[in-house]
Amino acid sequence: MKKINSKLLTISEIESSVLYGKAEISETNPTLKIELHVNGKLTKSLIVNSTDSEPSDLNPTSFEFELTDLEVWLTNEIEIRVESDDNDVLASASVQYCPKIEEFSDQLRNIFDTGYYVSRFMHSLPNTEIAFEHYLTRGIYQDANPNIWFSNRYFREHYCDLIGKRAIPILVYLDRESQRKYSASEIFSPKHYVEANPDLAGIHALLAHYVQHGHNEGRNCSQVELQEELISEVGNLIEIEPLIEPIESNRTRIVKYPFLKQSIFAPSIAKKYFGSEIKAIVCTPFISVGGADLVSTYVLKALQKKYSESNVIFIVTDQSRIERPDWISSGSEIIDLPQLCGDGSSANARMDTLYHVIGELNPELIFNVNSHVAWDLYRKFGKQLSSAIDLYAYLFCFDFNQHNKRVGYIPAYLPTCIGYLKKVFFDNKQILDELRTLYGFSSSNLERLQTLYIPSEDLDSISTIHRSLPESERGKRKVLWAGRFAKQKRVDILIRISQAMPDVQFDVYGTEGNAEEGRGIVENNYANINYKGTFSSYNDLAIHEYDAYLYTSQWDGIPSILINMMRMGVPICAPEVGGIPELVFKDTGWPVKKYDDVQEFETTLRRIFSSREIGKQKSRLGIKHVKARHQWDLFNETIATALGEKVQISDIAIASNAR
Amino acid sequence: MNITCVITAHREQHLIYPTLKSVFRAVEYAKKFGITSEILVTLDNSDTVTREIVERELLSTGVIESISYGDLALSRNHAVKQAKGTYLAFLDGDDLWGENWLANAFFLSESREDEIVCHPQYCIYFGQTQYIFEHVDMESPQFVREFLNNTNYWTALSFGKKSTYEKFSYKKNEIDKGFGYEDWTWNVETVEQGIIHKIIPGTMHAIRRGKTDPSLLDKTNMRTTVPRIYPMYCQTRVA
Repeated sequence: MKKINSKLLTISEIESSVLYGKAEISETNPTLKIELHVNGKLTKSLIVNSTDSEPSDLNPTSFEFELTDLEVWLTNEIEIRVESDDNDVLASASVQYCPKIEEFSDQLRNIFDTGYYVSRFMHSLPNTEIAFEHYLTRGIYQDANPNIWFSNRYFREHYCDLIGKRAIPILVYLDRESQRKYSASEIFSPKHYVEANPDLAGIHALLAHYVQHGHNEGRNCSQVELQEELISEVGNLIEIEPLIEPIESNRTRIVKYPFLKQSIFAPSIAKKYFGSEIKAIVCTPFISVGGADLVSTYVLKALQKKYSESNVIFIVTDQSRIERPDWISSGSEIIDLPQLCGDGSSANARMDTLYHVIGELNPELIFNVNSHVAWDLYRKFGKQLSSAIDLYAYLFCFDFNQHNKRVGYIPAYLPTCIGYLKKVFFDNKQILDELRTLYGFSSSNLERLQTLYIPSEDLDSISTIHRSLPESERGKRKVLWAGRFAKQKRVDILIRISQAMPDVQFDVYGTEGNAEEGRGIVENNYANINYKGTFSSYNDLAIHEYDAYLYTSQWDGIPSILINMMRMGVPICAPEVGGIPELVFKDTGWPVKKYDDVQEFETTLRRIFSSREIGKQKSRLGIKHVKARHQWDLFNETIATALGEKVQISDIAIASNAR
Repeated sequence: MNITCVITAHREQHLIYPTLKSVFRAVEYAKKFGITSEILVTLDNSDTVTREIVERELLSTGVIESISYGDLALSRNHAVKQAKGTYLAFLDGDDLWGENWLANAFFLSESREDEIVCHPQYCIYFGQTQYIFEHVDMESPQFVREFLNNTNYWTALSFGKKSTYEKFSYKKNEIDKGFGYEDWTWNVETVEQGIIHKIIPGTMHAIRRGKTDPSLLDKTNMRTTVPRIYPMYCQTRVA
């Protein structure tokens, strides 16, 4: 697009042969003449002036022209000129436009290979809609090929009489494809494709079929069968080796590479986009509101602090989902792996792609926080990867299934992968003892396991309404519960506690999970449970209104919400499971021995209500405990220390190492 | 000497006999065009049956190198050092060449000023699996560089200048460390360094699949091994 002054004039789009644009009227140029030139000829003009609209740099004037006298099959050169009332040309912009492109849009989409196109013609990460839009508005006019099997150069060379200079080759091909007279390139002929594959005789969109299915199925598209001389030579070889089969029956079924998927291009696209600057990669399955996802963003921050934002990539591996973009700084480099690999990519394909992306980007380390794709990568390629780069991971706790059997990331991955990992971090100490007892790891493997406490947010302590006020003044006692409605979090126990304490109001913030009881809470089926939806910030919670924070769970690490509640000085009632006793103990909070002892929960909560001075002391000690153990500097230093001194890399000559 | 025909053998026993016959045939065909060839067989940790057949068939017309590397990459590198030919052509001890392979590859190579490596147009797979595989010419639009990192475009049975194989020696397989596919690694390395891999039209090899003693390729495939195609595997880490 050529522009003299792009601020004055913008061509927004052309749709259905109507051009939409914007021009800026100013006090110095209150009247503008806007001219439309088509293929070098002035065809229309209009005058806009300040009486037509409020002149403002923020409110450019919109205009539109209906494009007539276009050559329908050809590339039309469209130019807009903006002149002052003195006929000075103030701005101009030009675009190319062929009306037929819109009509063929669906057919073009069916032959469009996003990975190939982005790798060859764009400098960005793949997004199918953006890439296709780029192709329709720019690439197609510049003879950019939509896939490897159609060649604009070939079509122009072989069918120049058909298309001339200004026709768009792919449109002519698609229009005439059903005739099967014109080859798309040296390597695709619709005629040969049908001859080699008679079952496709009824299909008209043959190039589309080949792009989407045929080439991955190993179908021939340009060669019908082997030459007679070669068939004869096979006969000669059979005389030497009788096991060689005659190939008459196979002569049209010839396997030929490549089998292309978008994921094939993903590593080279990543390399082109990020270059050689990447030092660290953090892998996370997705970003929901879960604690593990939050920890992955903490790890990202720590590595960005060590290396800088542009040297660290955050890869979302399992689902294209970032529900909390505010957890990630705006300058962060992010890869959406499912999107990079293309629609329908399997977990296995994503794992292989991740391997090749790492190969191309050549980082110093990979840090995995709960990504299944990355764990599968460690399991399959850990031996090779660990010989070249450092592998890290963060784990939290065992999960348990309905038979009370340990499941989850730790049993699935840790025993097989531990030898490849430089360090595995856990958010609590208790789990290390459990692993030692359960797996009997060697001393060298045990040294790889380290506790790394999650930092708290920088929150002010909040004094909560206290207990000594008479009920008539303070109203009902209020208890806060916040978390996921997951089976792990024992929502059923929360409900039973609330039923045992009808004089207390329970405000519940929660996101849907796999606990059926959550539905009843969301539907406000319980008299003294008030469902409040979800929250995005602790400032949303009106913490000062609550007498206590109640936590229920059957297994856990050290939940970040407990760390932050303690940081704010809120009295915490929580079960002694997992790593929680390392945070909530008699000096800092109100622990409950058994996670399902409703009576003990009730008694403990009532003790909180009546223990003002003790409560204040515990809050003070709790804040001190969190500040000492769950702080950012310690988190960053621990990671930096674990990463060790910067590794010096020296290239060895690329030669055999076996002389 | 124009061409050294290198046959890398291990314990193929009777299977090496048709291999040798196909080599003799190709050598005779090339001779008609004035192309001179020598035959060099590497017997790597071989057995008496294989040795007896090779010694009997070669008589005094070829060279036998007895080695104990236990590795195809090292076997090939050893053959490169011993070869007298300007060009080398590799063949595994149980596969076969088509008759015109040596001659046609030689003539294309001689016609090019740049450094190329040649592959046959077709591979006829036989034995436990049977299919025809067509190689892709690097100068064809069907060659997609990115695909080479995912899948090896060409077999190991290449033809090229001795100087090329000296400049780019094969990397030893280290299956226990997870690294194999020495030919794939070699293909990527040479492509990265600007060597063009060409197809010789109208030529073929016959490749045996599913042997009695699993090939190194089969063993490689049984475990998760990868080629050393990324720079990170070629860097040393100094603490």
